[in-house]
Amino acid sequence: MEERQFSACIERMCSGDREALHDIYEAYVSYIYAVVSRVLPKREDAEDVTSEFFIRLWKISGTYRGGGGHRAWMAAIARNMAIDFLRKTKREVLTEDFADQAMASDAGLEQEVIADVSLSQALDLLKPKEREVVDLKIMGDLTFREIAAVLKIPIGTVTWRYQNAIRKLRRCGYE
Amino acid sequence: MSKDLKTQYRMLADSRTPDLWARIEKGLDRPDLGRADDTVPVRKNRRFQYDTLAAAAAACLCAAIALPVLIRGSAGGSMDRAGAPMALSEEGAYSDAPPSDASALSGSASPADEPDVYEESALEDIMPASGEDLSVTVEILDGGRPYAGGIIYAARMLSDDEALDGRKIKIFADDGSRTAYEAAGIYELTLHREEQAEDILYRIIE
Repeated sequence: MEERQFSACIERMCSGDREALHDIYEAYVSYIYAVVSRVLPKREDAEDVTSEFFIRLWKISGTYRGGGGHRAWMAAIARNMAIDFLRKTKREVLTEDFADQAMASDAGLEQEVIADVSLSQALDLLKPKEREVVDLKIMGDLTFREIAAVLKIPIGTVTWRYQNAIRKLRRCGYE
Repeated sequence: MSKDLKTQYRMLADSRTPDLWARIEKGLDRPDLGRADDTVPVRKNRRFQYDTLAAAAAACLCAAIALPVLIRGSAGGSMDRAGAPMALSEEGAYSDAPPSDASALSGSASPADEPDVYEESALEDIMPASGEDLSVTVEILDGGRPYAGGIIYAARMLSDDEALDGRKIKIFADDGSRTAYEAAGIYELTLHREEQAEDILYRIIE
């Protein structure tokens, strides 16, 4: 969805047109769900927050100011909602631990080329933080600068994580 | 054989995304939609209540720490009153039988005669062990109270060492002390740590 189309949908939403929200939902539910799932791996939680995101989008549509990149704007809201949810439920998702596990599995893959694996299997090779960057890059078409702003990390870290992820996926035959 | 990452990635994500539109529509009709609190409602009874567990654990821990202290304090107080009734009558009565040795310091006064509660326990690991001397700068916090043949003062340590700076201690000057320590005064002192039954005092030796 182009920026102009998104702004038009928002305007329609402001006048109470639920179909406009549905258009945005159709275009971005997978993207938002992916962003939220990176913070909340449990399916039920991710579904709750993704649903609430679109409800909130409906509610705050009047506050949207175009021109800043709606995908990054939505990703930032969705991710903050997921983090708030995590805090509220007091449950810790130790992404660092997952990262360590992934790192251990990196060792044998350094030079290995795995040609015949599904994308799902290939994505399992990525660390959660690499996966988060790939989601925003591929699903959201965000620039590295936008990703850095959403994740609140330096742009160099973003590019480094993305390059690592792409290298791993490339070994599995995905370009 | 190259596979198109972007296309397949999006297809995979689409296939994994549940249909949430019905839930969203229902949510749009929610009467509380206009509320200020935008947080996502948490499903109740779905996960363990860690808050409750943490509060219960904290309460147990506090009880475990406080009870022995209270019991000891109460027992010690009774013994003190039984052993030295004169000491409780009024200030100045201490001089009736001033113990000269340090070992008598704690046994002649009730807890009510002691200065406010200070955090001596925090000093356990950072002050010299019993029998050693320590040169420190202290600020006297009160006017002192008669205590077992001398005066006991509340004091705050002033030190470059963050572990020591600001620590509150009780210091004891016996009647032979040549200096009259004044509230808010700052003094360079050499202190001798003395562990009494349930207490730690720092006797001014210089």
